[in-house]
Amino acid sequence: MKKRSRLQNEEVSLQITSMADVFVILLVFLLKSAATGLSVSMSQNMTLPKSVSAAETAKRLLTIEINNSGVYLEGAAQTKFDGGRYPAGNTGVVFSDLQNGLKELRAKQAYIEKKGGSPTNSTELIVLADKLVPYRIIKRVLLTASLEGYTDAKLAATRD
Amino acid sequence: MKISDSGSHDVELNLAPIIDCLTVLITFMLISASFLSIGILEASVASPNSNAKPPEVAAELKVGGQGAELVVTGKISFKHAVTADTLARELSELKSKGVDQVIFTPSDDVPFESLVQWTDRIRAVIPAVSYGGIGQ
Repeated sequence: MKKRSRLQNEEVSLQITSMADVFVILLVFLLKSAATGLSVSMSQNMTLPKSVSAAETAKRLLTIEINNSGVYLEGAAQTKFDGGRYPAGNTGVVFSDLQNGLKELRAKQAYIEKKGGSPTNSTELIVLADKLVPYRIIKRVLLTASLEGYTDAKLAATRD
Repeated sequence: MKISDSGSHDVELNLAPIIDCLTVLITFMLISASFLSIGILEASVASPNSNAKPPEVAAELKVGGQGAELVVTGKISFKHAVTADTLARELSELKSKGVDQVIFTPSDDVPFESLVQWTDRIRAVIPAVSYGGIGQ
């Protein structure tokens, strides 16, 4: 009986040192994964295909997104597809709106460079395409980009 | 803080505010974290007008609605219908004969998912893949 009352009076303190250790490890893990992955923003109606041979990258590059609503350059709509259907059309023809968008971007980069900014004359870009986008659309985007000097294109896929 | 009889200070670090900060930070990072690992595939374009010397043996894989066909030109020349299962064996044979690059030409209606799958199959044997039919 005496023993029980002594136990009840004991001050119980939560051992939070180990909890702090766990939190620090979690934080380090999350910081590391945030730093190594490629961070790109994608629209909701977009599913990238899976690939086993896609290489990991953390480099931030110019992005062109293609889905059933249109073609987007850095998130800004360039070409809209009517009724969510991919256009048939001549596959050897460029997307003129996208071409103008890329031209404007080049002009901005040249202006920044002229004003003393760091040179950004990159030839690389990433094409993020929905898994259902037909090759004829990808061909036209790659052709348009290469005509504007973006000859080093990369296709994005989810690493399997 | 307690001061013992000998005059030494018994300091206890208050971990509660540190835990608070870590909880907020971890919550923020979990919300902003992307658990999809995005990778890239090099999309070099096969140019028919290139000034580069053509290879002794050139291999081209054509994929369309009717299936896939491997077209080899140069010192060796043949045209084979291939499937996803037989492609690796055919490419391995070509690799042993010095072929180090494959031109991959899907038909216009091939979806991107299928294009990536075929690219994976080619790259498993010959890593250098360039895409054909661009500008046509």
